[in-house]
Amino acid sequence: MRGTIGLHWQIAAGLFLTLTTWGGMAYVRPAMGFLYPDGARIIIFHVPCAWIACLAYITAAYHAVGVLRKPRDWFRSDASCEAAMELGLLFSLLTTVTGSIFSRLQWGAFWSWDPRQTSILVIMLLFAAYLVLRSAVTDPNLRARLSAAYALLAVVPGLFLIWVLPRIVNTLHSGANQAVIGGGMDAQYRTVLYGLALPGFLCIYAWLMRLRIRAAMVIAAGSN
Amino acid sequence: MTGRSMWFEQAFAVCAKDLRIEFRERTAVSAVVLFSVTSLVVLGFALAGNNLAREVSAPLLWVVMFYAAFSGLAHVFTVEEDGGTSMTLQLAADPTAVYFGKLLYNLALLSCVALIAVPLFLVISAVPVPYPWKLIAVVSGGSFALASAATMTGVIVAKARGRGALFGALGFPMVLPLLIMAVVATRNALNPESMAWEPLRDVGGLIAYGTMMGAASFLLFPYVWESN
Repeated sequence: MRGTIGLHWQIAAGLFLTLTTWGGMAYVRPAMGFLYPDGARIIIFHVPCAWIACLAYITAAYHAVGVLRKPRDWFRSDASCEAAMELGLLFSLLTTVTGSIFSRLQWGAFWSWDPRQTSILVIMLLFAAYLVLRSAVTDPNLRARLSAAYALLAVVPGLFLIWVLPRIVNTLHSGANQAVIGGGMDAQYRTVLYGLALPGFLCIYAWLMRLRIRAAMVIAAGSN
Repeated sequence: MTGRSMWFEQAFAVCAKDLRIEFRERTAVSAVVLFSVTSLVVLGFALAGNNLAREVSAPLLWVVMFYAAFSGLAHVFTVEEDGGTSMTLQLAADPTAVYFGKLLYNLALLSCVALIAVPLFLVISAVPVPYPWKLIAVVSGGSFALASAATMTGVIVAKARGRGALFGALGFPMVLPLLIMAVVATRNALNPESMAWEPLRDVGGLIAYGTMMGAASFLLFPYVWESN
């Protein structure tokens, strides 16, 4: 029974992501107004990756609160927090890579220290630093508490990067940034992005989370 | 005696204790001073008499400040873990009072760094300072934010029994937003046109960051401090 429930996420992820690929590559028109109209198709994959990275961070912070609130029964929250952080690192890496490809096509450079680019870089560093901290502590109980505290402390720079920094530092290309973030997006792009890509990426995230937590449980059961 | 005055007394006692130890042994201060002097000498050597542009000097100042601060600020908690005194301190004082005391001590240490590094930097780089009070405001705000971000990271690193490399890895993402803000603010403070300067944005941003970091640390510190 458990296995078939797990399979639902895989089937849904496969279906939606196949449709997303079709939607991104064949359904949407090339975006006129961009330097390389066909290059804009990468947005279909770039934006959901950024969303999932943020979602992973929120999940991790939620489970970190769980770790600190439960002095005894923290194991599952800790495993979920770690799984979310690992997936966050993966998806923020994918966001950065797809973003720099688009940046190269549109603005001529892979990296230009735009506030949005800086934010994703620092968020990626936060995910990585969390995992570095985990690998540095051997005692499981201490590791759970320290890494949960670090994950929650990281909410402060996270909030600053998303809401405050773009208002303080002058952005070089605010118009173009607006277009990427959703200001002037075509209806076709919105349909594919919200209707196909978002559910597809959500399903693959849910599936990977479940897989990772189950693996952590199996490893813990084996070592006891 | 009321509970609140007890709390402040404990916090100031923790700070005074650390200052007294520092005054006797001078480990953190000597590390920090030596670091800022050597890095500034390297900078001066590399410049070799050339003047720095304002755009370049602001980030360089904060690179020196960041590394100087991080060479000393972790010391405040590792000294308790290494000396085996952290358990006693847990019994003797309220956790948040310990945090507040350590934050005060780190602020004192960072003021020391700023008092040495900033004038030396200005001498070596020969950057004109049109409005000294603007620079003082930015450096004070930046030091406050840096201290409050580094104190909490310091306790996590000390409890993890980690050393300098771990402190750098964990601390860097915590201070990067404030370093970016401090660089922008320093650039504006050194700008001779008074239009470039907006106190609420330039200094207010730094103080807001330090306050948010301090508030988050205040809530999280007891969980970390009492885990052994």
